[in-house]
Amino acid sequence: MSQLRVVHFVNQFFAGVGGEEKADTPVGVIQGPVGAGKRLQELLGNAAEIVVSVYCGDDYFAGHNAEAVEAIRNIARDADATLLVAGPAFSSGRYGFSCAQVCHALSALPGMTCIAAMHPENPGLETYRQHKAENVYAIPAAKSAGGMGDALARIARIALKIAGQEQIGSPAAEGYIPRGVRKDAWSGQDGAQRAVDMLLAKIAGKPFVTEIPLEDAERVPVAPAIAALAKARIALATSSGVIVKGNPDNFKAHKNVQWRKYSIENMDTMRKTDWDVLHSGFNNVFMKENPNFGIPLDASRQLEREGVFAKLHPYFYTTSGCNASVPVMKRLGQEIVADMKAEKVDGVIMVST
Amino acid sequence: MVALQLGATRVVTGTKIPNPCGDVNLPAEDDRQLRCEIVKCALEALQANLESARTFVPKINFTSG
Amino acid sequence: MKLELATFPVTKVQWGERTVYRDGLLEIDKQELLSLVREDPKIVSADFDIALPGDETRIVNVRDVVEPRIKIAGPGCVFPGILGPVESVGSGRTHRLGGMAVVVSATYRPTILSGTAAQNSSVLDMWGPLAEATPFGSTINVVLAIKLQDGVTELEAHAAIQLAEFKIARRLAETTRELTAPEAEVFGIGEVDPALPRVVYIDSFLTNWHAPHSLVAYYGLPVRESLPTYIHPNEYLDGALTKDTRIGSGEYTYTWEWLNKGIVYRLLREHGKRLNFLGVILQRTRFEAEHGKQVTAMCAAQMAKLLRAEGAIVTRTVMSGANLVDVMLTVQACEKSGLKTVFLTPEWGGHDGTEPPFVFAVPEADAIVSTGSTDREYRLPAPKKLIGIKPGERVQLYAGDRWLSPSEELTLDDTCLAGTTDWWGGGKYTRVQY
Repeated sequence: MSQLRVVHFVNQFFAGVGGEEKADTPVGVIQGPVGAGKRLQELLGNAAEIVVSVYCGDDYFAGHNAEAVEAIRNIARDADATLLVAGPAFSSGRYGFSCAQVCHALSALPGMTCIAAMHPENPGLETYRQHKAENVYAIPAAKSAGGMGDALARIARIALKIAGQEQIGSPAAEGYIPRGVRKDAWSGQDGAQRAVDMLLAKIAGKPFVTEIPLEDAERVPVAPAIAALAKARIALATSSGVIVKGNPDNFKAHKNVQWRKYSIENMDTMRKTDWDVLHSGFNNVFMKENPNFGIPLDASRQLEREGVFAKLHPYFYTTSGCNASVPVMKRLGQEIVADMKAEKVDGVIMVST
Repeated sequence: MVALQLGATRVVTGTKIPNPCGDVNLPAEDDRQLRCEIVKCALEALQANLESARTFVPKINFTSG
Repeated sequence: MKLELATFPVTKVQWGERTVYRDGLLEIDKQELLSLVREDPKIVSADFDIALPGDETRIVNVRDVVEPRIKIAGPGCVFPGILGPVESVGSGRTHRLGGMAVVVSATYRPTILSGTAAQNSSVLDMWGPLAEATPFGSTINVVLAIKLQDGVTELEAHAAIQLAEFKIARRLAETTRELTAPEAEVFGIGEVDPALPRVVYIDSFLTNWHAPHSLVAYYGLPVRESLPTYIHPNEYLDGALTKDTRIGSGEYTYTWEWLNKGIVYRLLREHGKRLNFLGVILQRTRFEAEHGKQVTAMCAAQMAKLLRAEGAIVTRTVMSGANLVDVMLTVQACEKSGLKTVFLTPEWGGHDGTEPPFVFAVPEADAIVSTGSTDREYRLPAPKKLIGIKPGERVQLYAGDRWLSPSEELTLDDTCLAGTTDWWGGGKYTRVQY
């Protein structure tokens, strides 16, 4: 069994370069382990060798993300490393972020596995949970460097498994923080029994573990308000599945992967023209009879005539959003917005069912 | 509620799922007026300076359920 | 109120001169069954087939699956309000044929062509990856394939399909009338040790109030926009809850599942042992405005409190995002009123598990049991035999979908396949956080 070659990523402080005053240190390399990495090497024994340690100042990384990551990736590749250890970053937010970013970048290298360690509340974990890479493991560490020994022991445990080419099991079994990837599994007991067991534990005040931890909602920054509505171009959009009669663009009743824009130039109501409604998640009868319910054209035209806003964009944007994949809809949303921006749309009224 | 959870920042409460911008139980002209109120509310939302997500409720009465 | 449910296991099914059950062998007189089906002039063609687990057989246009049961003693009949008068059921003695099912495959010309009231169907393979993922891949299936006359209304289509399959199911179960079952269980929720935790089951299911049949019926009456209703769990065992048989998609439910609800049997079997099962609160969703959702949530929680429950298990049907809101609000209302609540449910998550498991949640939903994802994809090999369609013909599983050639290899997801979604905890498939 050949020895696992390891690259250890640390920040300027843990590399011994300096403290906060050296946070703008660019990427640097030290042969072999440095600082706490020496202790980690002891724990790894002969199974793995920290061939190179790479460091980067917290501020430098934050300001030169792409270059820093590129440099670190090259170092790892040149060193023929197949394991990256990043941190432990404990509660340091900038350090945790750079650890997560380095892991994400290096996880794309063939054969690479990445282990990062930080406190479970370190915001760097948002990156980790967002990317959901199965060859990246985040180990929980204490808030401060007092927990170094424990963190290194946990890192070493997983690293030794990787060195021994053993399968890494579930977060619960192996002690790492879940990324939020849901994988198929078969329980020893049926769902009904597990539900009763969980309920009885909950009633008795005994501990239990939920099988679906709830994710935090994504925070979307609020776009700035429209300052002068009377000068604005407003567009209408919908996910209710209002489409051209006959469905020439082959929309599906659910799980769509496309959007379209259709002309409403010179129309003052959706009712007079023939549209179809294709959405298997609600009763389409009312919308078909009066598509103004999904694309409020009649009301919008009236307000346009009254000068409440300057121009109603001559196209409406549509898809059928039933049972849709969230990442697909995110992509459609981005494409629609790009189109609207190119057409100088200032504001959108999006109707969903 | 779903919109807010998925990250929408300016949310206007419509009427019912099959006809969010209207009420099928109203005569045509009343239904259109109701729609105007909803669109006006949406336009106000677009003009609101917000720090975080908010729900806007149009001044309408409609048959609930 | 006690019900003795006696099981007659079926290990072999074959065509024969008479319809008779003996020691695990069910012999069926095909002509007798055909004449039962043909009593209805709306059925213009009918045929039967037997599909065994492991056969490389694909059944198409699947609308429903039902387990043969018959009431031997006690008031009412199995499928009250449909096969007999409306009489309260769930007591006395009922016989069931275990290990087998009646599958009905039906085609007709639909009149509602889009939206939630439109008909749909599913595919059932007796071998391969699909068979392992559905209970119907392990039952010996007597398949009834029928075609209805043109011009039937949607409601007539449902009634014809349902009556045909229920008459067959009853006729097969009838073979056990004079026999003594090798195994029987007695179910009830009578008085037990008052110190046991008091648990209620909130059965939340989606209904389309505007559709000809609303998807779920109680004693044959489609449930439309009603508020929560309190029932006895034994009623499920005698078929008090049934469904719209035009709707065969895997996203919905099958009569077999209503008769064999995992969570109901588990709670009945634990009654008097680890808990005091107070009964069932039926809750229809989905209300189409926030007001309705809030009222049903409050009402279900309040009803549970009036029953002096300490805990509640909540389930749901149909992978609709909108109805998830009603159910999550119910979980929230229960927890806020002091009821410890567990939500037993499938999840989304995309087929590789990287998408969110739910599009909506409440912080009070902190005790969830997952019956797995409904976003799985299956590569199904080409079958040797097709039932419910002629070779070379194509099928459209739901309005607006593409046309499929079932004689070929197919790649489908859970909504297209009969029985792969576990609403009620009868299976062991789940998903785990990695």
